[in-house]
Amino acid sequence: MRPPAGGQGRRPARGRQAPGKGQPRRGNARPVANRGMRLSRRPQAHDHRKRVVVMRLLLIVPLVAALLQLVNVQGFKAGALAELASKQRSTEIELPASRGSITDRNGVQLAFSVESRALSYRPQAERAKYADKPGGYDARAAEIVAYLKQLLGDKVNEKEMLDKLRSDVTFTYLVNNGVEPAQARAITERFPEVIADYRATREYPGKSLAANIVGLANWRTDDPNPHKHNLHGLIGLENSRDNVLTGEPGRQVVDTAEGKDGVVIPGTARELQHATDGSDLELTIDADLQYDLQQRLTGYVERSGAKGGSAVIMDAKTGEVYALANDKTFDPTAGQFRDPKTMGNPAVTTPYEPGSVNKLVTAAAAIEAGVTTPEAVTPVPGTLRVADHVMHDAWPHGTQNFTTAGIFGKSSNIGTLLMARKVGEDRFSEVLKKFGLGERTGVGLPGEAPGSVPPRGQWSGTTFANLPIGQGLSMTVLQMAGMYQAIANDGVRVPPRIVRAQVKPDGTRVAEERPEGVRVVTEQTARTVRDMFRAVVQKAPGQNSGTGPAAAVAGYQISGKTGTAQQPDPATGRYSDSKYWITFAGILPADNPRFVVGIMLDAPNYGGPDGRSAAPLFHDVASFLAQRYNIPLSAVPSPVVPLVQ
Amino acid sequence: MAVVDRPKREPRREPKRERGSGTGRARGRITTIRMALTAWLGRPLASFHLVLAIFGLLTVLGATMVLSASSVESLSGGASAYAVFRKHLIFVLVGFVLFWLGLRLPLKRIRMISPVAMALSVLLLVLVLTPLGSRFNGTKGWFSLGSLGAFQPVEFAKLALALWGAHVLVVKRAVLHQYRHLLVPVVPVALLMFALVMLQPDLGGTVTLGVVLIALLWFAGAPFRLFGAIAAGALAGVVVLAIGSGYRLSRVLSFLSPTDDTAGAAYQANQALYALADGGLFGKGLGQGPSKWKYLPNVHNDFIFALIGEELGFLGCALVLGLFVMLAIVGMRIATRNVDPWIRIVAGTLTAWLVAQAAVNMGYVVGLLPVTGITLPLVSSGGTSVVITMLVFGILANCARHEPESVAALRSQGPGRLGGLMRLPAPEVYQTPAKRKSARPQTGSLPGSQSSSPSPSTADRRGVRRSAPARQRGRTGDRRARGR
Repeated sequence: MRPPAGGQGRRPARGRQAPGKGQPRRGNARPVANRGMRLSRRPQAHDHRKRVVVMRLLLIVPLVAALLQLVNVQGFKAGALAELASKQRSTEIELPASRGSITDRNGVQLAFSVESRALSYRPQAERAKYADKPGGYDARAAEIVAYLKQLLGDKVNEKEMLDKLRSDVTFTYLVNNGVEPAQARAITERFPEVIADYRATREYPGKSLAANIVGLANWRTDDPNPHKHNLHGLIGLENSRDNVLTGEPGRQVVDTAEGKDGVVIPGTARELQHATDGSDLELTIDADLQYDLQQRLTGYVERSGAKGGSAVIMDAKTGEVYALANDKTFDPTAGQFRDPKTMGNPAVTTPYEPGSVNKLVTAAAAIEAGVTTPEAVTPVPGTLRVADHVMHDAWPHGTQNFTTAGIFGKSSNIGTLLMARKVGEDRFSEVLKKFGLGERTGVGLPGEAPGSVPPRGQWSGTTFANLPIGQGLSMTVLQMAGMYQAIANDGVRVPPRIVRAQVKPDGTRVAEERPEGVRVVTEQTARTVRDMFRAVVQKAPGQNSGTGPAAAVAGYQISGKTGTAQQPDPATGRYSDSKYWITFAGILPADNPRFVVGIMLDAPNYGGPDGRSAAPLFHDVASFLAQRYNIPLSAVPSPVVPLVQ
Repeated sequence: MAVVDRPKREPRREPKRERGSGTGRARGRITTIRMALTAWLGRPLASFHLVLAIFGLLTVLGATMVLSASSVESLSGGASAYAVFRKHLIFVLVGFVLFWLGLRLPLKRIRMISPVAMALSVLLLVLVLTPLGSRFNGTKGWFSLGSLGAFQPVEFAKLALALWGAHVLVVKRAVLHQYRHLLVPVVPVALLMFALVMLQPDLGGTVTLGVVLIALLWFAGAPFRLFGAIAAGALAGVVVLAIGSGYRLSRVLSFLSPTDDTAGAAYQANQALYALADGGLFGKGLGQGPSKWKYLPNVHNDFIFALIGEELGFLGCALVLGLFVMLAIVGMRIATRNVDPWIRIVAGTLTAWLVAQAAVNMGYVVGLLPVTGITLPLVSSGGTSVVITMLVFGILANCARHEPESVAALRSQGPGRLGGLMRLPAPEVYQTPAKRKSARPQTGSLPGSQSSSPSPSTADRRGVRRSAPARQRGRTGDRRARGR
């Protein structure tokens, strides 16, 4: 079948040999051939066939070689290479646990966390990229700073940041925290050399509101393992309840796109360990009330020229702390420039001598012991000798007939000591203990002081002359209010609490354990004492006014007690005659108690108009409470009782 | 010519049968399949259908892989995830039109316009160096078409060189035994093109143009020692080019010691190997390859073969390789079976170009060659490359329809269902030299014969014309007569 090779090829050959027309031409062609190089003529078809076969071979051989190489790469070497490939892609990512928020009793957020970014930079490495372009790096740096300034505004100090970028260090933080993730993304998309790291910012929307209670948490980088960097509390509840708030970060391995901020490739997540967010803390604080108390206290401390002051508002029945204020507070969002002196919580950490407020113990013990009744009349001399001391009242008087209500209403030291003597040291000591003095309340705030009460065995001759009138022992404003809470709660003292519940990440609410109430006195005694102490705010003609009529709130029965305690003077080693702790504790309203308020002013200007008593502040606070909580008016006003006969 | 193949197979079949009788049924079955295959391949339009099949499979596979490879890049570009794919589809649609034109236009017409195309492409190559051209990735080789993308004249120049070169060499067929006629004007013009392309600079384009030139000379019948010289020259050229340019030297060095700098010069080649290895035998599944997540630069054009390996595994790679092997075989078959010398050179050259380009691309992806920016024909998402490749496939399919047996079948039995659908005209029978002899001196219908090769004598020219296989034509005629 095969045609003889060169069926066409032979033709040119024949043409060459053929005589005739072609010959003269060929004669012409010869010189051409002689001039140039000449190729041999071959049978064309056969030649073409060979060339096609060779070309086919030439084309197929590299393809087969590629196939063999594929067998090598995708077969023999596949394991090792694929492992390298997977190594370059897989990233372990932290799943940060968000820190729980802290809310007031109505759900108002006092502290919460926001995801943010810190911006950092590697000046040396970046400068190296501009090695061949002098000035290029500085121009780029200026560009970065200008953009950051435009985006972040006040967070950026242009000159400082430019110095950082141009400094000769390997690594520097440009912005430590607080850059919104969207801003950070805009920055890193435009300037990929800027590094954005995960951070969380703690927000305190109320700024100084309840700051001494809530405290402060910030981003900690002290752990050498960067994965463990997190928000942690420095002070306050943020610190003491850190374990509850922090939660447990999770982790997960994913494949990411190339680049240091490569997106996660969908469907590659594995080895997932979920993060457990921190629990929220719900406080017993009422943010509005807290704000009001802070404002009023700070204002009053300023007016009275006091060194400091604390105040607490407590639920009369449950002992829940509705507000706890110090005159000095701080703004947790203000950055680094905070005065450490303002960051404490003296209301729970710093005890003081309560003064006459403590006469409540004597009154309760006396009524409980049945040694007197509010109406019983006691002749009270002007002075009383106890051991080697001669005691006086705050005002000079001869022997007067005081009712028991008058002794406390007018705060007679002598009368109180006479009552205490009727009670006896042992019974008095026992009641003192039942009121929770000398031991921590366990309110749940860090650094709580127990105060001090001299142990019964160490009492000296004058101890029993001091304790009944509130000297020689110390307590916090919380403990002071706690005593009145017991009386307000018909004799059962419920230790105060400031954390109401934890709200788990799944929404379940776990109430904090409620402390057991301690019966201090009988219900009857408590009511009697409460009614008797209404005399303190009584304003009546003659000598029948109490020591704190300024505390009275129109329409409400108020029961309370003023206090003025001498401060020890380190210079003389004696009690000072000019520096006092001015205290007030009161119950609103006395006929159906809802709140207990305790106030302490530290060394106000005793000669000034507002330096002698905290009663006016109680009036203001109680008025606001009555208004805010719509407390019903008392059915009848406090009866006017005779104090001195 | 088709008949030529048959006796070749016959003797092969004989010994098989003998062995088959010894080993049993399996042999018998293989023999049956073999016979069925041979019978199918013996059909007159087998080449044409094979070209269509290869073309269709590569286009569909390419579009699919471009979609898979480009979605991440499209999305991170800010627009839709389909941005690159949509652009590719537009080019494919344009390519389909050109494919159809290439298939439909009479080859004689294509040959006639080849000098114009050549002049145009040289002009474009010059213009692209002027401010009219745009620079992408450091190469000034594009005319920007706005949102549509860009047109790369070098792709068009490759086709023009193949068509025009074949035309010139066929015209000068009788005097090709003289180096002067063999090399002039094809080689100087080609060298001019090389120079223009190297000015862009585009090494990949130059290499492909070189392949086209060598294939032209090869199929035109240039002596073997010429190719020895070219091989030596090419080797020297590679060395000079590599040393002359920093990035090329680093590419070559990184190719020679790939593990030295996996983050730097060898990064891309290394990532391609990672992708292939990750795919293994069966691949990670379509769309699941992680290397397109910015690990493998140019994954949707130059390195798409790596993504095929990653997502479709060794099987996918073998399919692509197999398609190009088939293209080589079918293309060479078309070159062998045709009788028109121009078609023979064109079919051979175009096939050599496409397959060589594919081999270079896949060669550097699998790590056998240094990285050059040569695309994988029809599969890579490279605007002009896709369009021109589709046009080339159209011309190749057209050549397949000009195999004498196809011509006979098509002329006797009509265009068939597919051809009817595409409204393809019946291919013309290769003209007899006698007919041309009378026509030529008066009309000079082939422009090249007058302008570009004035030197050959009339005798030589006659030789050219006469060299056409009159016998073949006679056979065809016989067949047709028999068919009727």
